[in-house]
Amino acid sequence: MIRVRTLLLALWAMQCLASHAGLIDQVGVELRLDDNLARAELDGDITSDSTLEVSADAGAGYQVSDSDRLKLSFELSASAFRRYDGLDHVAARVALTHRHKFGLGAYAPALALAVSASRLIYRDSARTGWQYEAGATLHKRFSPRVDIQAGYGFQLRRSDDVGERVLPQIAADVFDTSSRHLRLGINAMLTPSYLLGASYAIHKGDIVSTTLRNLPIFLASDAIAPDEVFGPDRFAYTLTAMTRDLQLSLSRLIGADASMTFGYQLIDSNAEGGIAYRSILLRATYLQQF
Amino acid sequence: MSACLLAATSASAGELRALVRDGDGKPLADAVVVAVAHVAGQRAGRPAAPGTDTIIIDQVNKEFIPYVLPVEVGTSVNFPNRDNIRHHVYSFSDAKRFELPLYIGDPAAPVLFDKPGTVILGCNIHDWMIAYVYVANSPYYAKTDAAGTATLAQLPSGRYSVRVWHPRLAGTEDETTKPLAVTDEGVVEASWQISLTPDFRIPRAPVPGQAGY
Repeated sequence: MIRVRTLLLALWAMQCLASHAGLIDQVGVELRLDDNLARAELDGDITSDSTLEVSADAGAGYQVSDSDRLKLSFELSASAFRRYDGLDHVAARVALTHRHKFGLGAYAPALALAVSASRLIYRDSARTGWQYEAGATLHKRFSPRVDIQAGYGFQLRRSDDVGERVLPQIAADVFDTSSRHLRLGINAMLTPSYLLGASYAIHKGDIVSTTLRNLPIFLASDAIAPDEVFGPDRFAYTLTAMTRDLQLSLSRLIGADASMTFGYQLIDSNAEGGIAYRSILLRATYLQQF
Repeated sequence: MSACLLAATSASAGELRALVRDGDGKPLADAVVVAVAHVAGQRAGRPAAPGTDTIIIDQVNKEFIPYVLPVEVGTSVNFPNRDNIRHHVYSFSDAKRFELPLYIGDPAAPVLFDKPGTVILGCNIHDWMIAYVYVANSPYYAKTDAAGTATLAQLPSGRYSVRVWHPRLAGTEDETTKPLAVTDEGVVEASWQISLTPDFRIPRAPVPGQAGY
């Protein structure tokens, strides 16, 4: 409860700062429910939790030409988990985006190329490290009501410290992961105030699953390390998987500068060795821009 | 659409007082009421000839102000940018195609609106920005306020076709046309109730991106 109060206080402070100094472009608060936080397959390993996250964005954009825009943005976020407080973390992200518009007007397609680096500091120090992302997104609007996006991205994560190996022949760098994804999305306004969003993505690469000792996962894993965040005798395994990710959202636009969004996300992973897990995430997100 | 025409007295000059409501009967702002004289050349009383006024559409906080600007054919409009970022104003409309590439402050020259019709404005940088210039083929026009009222003053006596336009007008402008007679010493009141299309606009508000996991 104290952590939640701290986060809300931080959000309030950020809003005050934004309204008085104009330093912050956007603040947000999100409540997230995850029914399989550990990305586990067996009932005994599956754990659920709720997360409260607050975030603030700032940035500077420069219109290089009529068609090209560069934006440097910074985002700070803090997340608190109700049960598994080892996952509490703060993240500082810097991103550089170049957007090129192929023509004039709101319906001209646009291509955005983005690179970012995030510093992740977890209460569980094994997860502390850096995350790097790069991607390209093509956007096309067809009307004031409908737009689509298609994107390809790459993600790389590196931990600061890697613990002792559980077995000499198996790596312990479970949180050093990489993956790439292809995503398609569509947004459609149902009414002038309600926006429906849907996206489907396929990720290929590493996932981390935390379970009790598990021979099939052990045999399929690329790295293993103890993971006491989820309790004693739990191990985090890095697996190579194909993950399908379906997201649906309904946003209520609140004036020109805020929205309240309810989201559903289904994650379905299939790893080598016939290992599969499924997670459902529910989100309630409030965003306010300045 | 329903109509109510009332002839009144006790005015010093010909005047049309219009009231425009939406389909639910609520007062409608940003509707343009245009009176076109039945007799060619019947015009008097307007304070300025086309093109002599300094008429502007501002860009403030990444929005056009006003949302609707009625002008007469032959009017020049300036588009000052009062934001501290650059805008790129354009229109693809048949009544006026133009482009004001990236600028801050005042553009090099105002834009001359020389054909009647509706001109939809946009900003190439901020896709949600939209505004309308209604170019009237008559010097007698006015825009409704928040109460849905507009006054066309100093109308010379005569017969007019009066019509209403709005960015979200569901039907055609011609369907709103009413014949009206104005006398030098009279006030004519007229009201319109028009059906509107839903107000779909490109969202400006932030919505969550497609979050990872």
